[in-house]
Amino acid sequence: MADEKTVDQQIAEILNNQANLQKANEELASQNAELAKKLEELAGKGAAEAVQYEGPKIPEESFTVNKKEFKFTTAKFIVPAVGEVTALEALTSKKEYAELGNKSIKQFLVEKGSDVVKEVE
Amino acid sequence: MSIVISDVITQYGAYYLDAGQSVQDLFKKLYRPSTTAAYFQARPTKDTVYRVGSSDLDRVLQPFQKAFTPIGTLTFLANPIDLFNLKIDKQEYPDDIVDSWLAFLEGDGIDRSQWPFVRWMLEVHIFTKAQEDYELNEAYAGVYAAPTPGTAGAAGTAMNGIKKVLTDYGARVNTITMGAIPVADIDFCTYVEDFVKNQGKEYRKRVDYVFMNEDLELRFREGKRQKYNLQYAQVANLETIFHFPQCKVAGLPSMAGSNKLWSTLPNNRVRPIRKQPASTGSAQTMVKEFSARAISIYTDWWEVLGFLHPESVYKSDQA
Repeated sequence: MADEKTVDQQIAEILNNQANLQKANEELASQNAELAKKLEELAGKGAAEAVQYEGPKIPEESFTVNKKEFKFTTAKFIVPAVGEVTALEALTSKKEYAELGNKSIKQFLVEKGSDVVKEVE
Repeated sequence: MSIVISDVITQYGAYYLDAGQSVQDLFKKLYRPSTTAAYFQARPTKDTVYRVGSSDLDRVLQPFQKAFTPIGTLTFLANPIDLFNLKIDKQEYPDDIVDSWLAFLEGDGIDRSQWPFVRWMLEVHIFTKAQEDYELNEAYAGVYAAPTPGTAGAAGTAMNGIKKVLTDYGARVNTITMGAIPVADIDFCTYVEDFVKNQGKEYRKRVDYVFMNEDLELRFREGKRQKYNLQYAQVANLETIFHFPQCKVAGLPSMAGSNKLWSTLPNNRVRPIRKQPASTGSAQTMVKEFSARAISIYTDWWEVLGFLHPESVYKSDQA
């Protein structure tokens, strides 16, 4: 019966377990508080805000072709023989394409009468 | 709401004489059928917003190395398609026709609501005229505007049509910068061919139609005849795109006055229609009520023409 614990030992073990459980409870409470705080922060946001889709944007800046000022009306488009181009790329690019008759994309769009650019009035 | 029969009274008198006249003696101009909607698959729904989504994975394949280097972003986009509530309200006094040549449309000893006039008006005019109104005013060019309470809304404001839907998708729809429509028919044929050629390679062998207005469709046919029917080389199908024979041009009455071309996969075009209880009518059924000598006919339903995956739609850059 050497393995049998005395009452005092059993009480000490119970108290020890209680202390451990109390500590674990405190940790859980702390984690719960953190989660509640995060939930509160998320509650203020819509799903769209939580993960915002970042598509191409229409640039605000205008550009000049043949002494006339134009702005883009479409954020992304396909230029025949060149491929998909964003308005921002077209705005900043000065490259002249042989496929477009040695013209830049901006020049090509203006001269073709494309609706993806609009003259600024 | 009114029945104008003054000319019939002037010509045939203000009385009914049974000379054997019948509905066979009444003629009308042709109404345009609802052509555009026929290209869209009906999708019954219980909701007023048809919710679908799309997903896209950018890249997964990479060169081998021992280290674990995961890549690829899986992006989901929502595509809520709003349905619009359309209605037909009509009220007439069938007695207006009694004392005239038109009285063959009067029922003999039966309730006014059962008179042949009512059925004739429904079958010959209301359903077919509703299809024409839908086609010419709403299907492509419609832009929804909330009606003033108590006043019938203006034509073209009952729902957002395809043009507005495509505009609202912004850069999610592919815009091909085709430029202005060429003057010569033969050049226009090449223009349409270029429109298909510049679509994604995964799409251009699968799209079934290039939609345009009816006059442009005719110009394409004429241009194709001029371009390919030379000497012994003859092509029979003037509506197909030469290098993509699965794809045809389709002229839509709804696109009258528009220089835009658009194209997509066949199963991408959908027409969500909300299921309605029988008591409220639908696009195909009407509710009939008779009160104080007036017959009231009405119905309302929810629908729209839309696209399941806007990224699979191609349009030209013209208005």
